Amino acid sequence: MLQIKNLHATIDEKEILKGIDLTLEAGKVHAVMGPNGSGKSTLSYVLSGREDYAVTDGEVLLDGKNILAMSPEERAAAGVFLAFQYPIEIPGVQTTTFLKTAVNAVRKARGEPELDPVSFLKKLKSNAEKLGVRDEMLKRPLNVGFSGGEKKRMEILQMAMLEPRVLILDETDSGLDIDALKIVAEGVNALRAPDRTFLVITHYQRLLDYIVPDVVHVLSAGKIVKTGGAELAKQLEETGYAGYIAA
Amino acid sequence: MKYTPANAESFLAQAEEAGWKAPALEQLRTRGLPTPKLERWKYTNLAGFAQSGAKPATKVALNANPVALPWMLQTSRKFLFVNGHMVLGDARLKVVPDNLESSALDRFGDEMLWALNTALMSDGPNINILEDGAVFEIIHVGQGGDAPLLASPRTAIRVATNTSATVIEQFLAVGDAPVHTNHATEINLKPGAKLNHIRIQMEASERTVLNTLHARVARDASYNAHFLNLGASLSRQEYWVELEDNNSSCAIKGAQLMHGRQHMDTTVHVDHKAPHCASNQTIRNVLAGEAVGVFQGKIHVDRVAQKTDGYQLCNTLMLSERATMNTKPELEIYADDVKCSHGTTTGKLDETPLFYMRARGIPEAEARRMMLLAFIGDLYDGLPEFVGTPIAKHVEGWLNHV
Ligand SMILES: Nc1ncnc2c1ncn2[C@@H]1O[C@H](COP(=O)(O)OP(=O)(O)OP(=O)(O)O)[C@@H](O)[C@H]1O
Ligand SMILES: [Mg+2]
Repeated sequence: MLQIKNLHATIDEKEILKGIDLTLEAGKVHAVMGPNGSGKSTLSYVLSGREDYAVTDGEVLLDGKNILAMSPEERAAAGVFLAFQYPIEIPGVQTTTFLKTAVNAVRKARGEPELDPVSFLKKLKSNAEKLGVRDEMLKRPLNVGFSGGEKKRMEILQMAMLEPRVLILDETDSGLDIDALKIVAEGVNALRAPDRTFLVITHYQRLLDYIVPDVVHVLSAGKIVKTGGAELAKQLEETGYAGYIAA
Repeated sequence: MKYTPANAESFLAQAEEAGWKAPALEQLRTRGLPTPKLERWKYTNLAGFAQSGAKPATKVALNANPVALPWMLQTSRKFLFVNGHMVLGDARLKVVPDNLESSALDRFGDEMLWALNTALMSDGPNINILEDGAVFEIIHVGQGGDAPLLASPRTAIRVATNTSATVIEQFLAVGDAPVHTNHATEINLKPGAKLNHIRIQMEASERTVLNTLHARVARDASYNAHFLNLGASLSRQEYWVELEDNNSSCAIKGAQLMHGRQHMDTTVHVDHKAPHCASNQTIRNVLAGEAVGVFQGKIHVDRVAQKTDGYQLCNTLMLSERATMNTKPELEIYADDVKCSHGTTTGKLDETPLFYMRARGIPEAEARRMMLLAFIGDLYDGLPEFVGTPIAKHVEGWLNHV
């Protein structure tokens, strides 16, 4: 569904991604693990179109179409969604307003009718409830003053509302307490569908106990250095990355 | 302080012709108009205005249907001034030319524009508010003629003891030819009085709009000003507020939105002269193009003004590298038990939230607009809907254009 081919990317002229080849298959969950600073977040930003990064080589095909020339909003409309490792605070923009603007922008770009206020609120309420996002939070400016865990839930709420096809989760588990981890994982699992693909970045096996991956990749120094099944994550938990650090 | 009387000559001749208001004339003769040599006028240069050759505007009829003007309320008491002359309103409520002098401004050395207004003033509302909840609406239209004109309206507002009132002022243009405005406002709030004063300046380009306001606030009284500056090529508004007795307060909040080669200056001076008084200055500037913005804000706290609560914050958003913002916050405190804070920020639109919003599918232009709106933020919260809604519309309209 999403093919990443020989992807090279730099920031401030420093090469971070050094030729990534990765295929995300429809209906499957792909975990990416790897040491701090290996380029996991960089990969997720490059996929979602952050302009600080320069792609120096390679391509990213979504259903065979190169998305690298597309703006972030066009990619979002095409179905790419990144749940940020560090969600951004947007002072002065009420969470509900933000969500409504985003949902309708994406629907419009996809050629779907905008949601009327009542249907939107209904959908928001039911998703928020499932993820344990309180009403009061929806009235506050987006992410402002939210706790680390609350921000992560808000990312998944946005994900559920926008109905993306390529779901990238960058360390969504960090900052979540044990109960919240379960709730969020259930939220993510509920989104699993034959026409969706997941890229789950994490450091910990625990998340993968709930969101069971079909494939596990190890990213080190900007390259995929190992690929295996769900058992690879368990093995890494014991051995660490010592054997996989790329030269 | 050095003044250059020469720059007021063209106005002096006209004032002399009018043949009265001698003291103001004398002041103007000796002092001239402010120049950048004066500390308080460092960032705003009136040379263009002084040399414009503008003649005092005479009374003309409005070249438009007064009903079609953007009045905010049906039931308010309405005044319409065209080039400083009353065209619509209660003729009994007209300023009598020589009953208003503001000696307080002498102290600050900024009385020249006031003197110019006094020397040339035409008309203006003289509102004595006794009725609680009263709303007055004033529209000043600058209507272009063949030659450059100068409108010199004068406004006086008194609010009686324990009375609340609202006064809305709009400055609008009809036609493009230059009509400059030099408006002076005197406000007097009796004990326990409350005035909400809203000003929207939407004058045409190639015009100068000068506003000098002096407010006296008595015990338990409060002066609340909101402004929105959108128009004119050069504007300067001065708010001089004296908190004269215990527990009086003032708030001056507003935004200056500028683009092209506009120059906008808001200068505030709050004088805490008694204990337990509070003041708030909240200013937001958005600059595009080659605009030049100025904010000068001073909190002056007398020795006796213990328990003063003074607050000042000026945030500026620069949308262009070619724009310039000048800010000068000042605290001058002679009492020892006070709480005063001030701060200024100047920065570009943050790219990170912008990316975040776009990554959620919000188109860049819309994301920018949302961030700018958020920057203006809560400035106008709490205003009654009949002014809040039009203000929000003006702000959005402006944002959609930059
Ligand atoms: N502006 C920059 N200039 C130079 N190097 C940068 C810049 N921004 C990020 N980097 C580097 O890029 C590398 C990859 O960062 P990235 O955030 O992708 O790592 P990560 O794998 O997500 O790590 P973590 O597990 O800690 O989240 C890091 O070494 C980081 O220091
Ligand atoms: Mg990371």
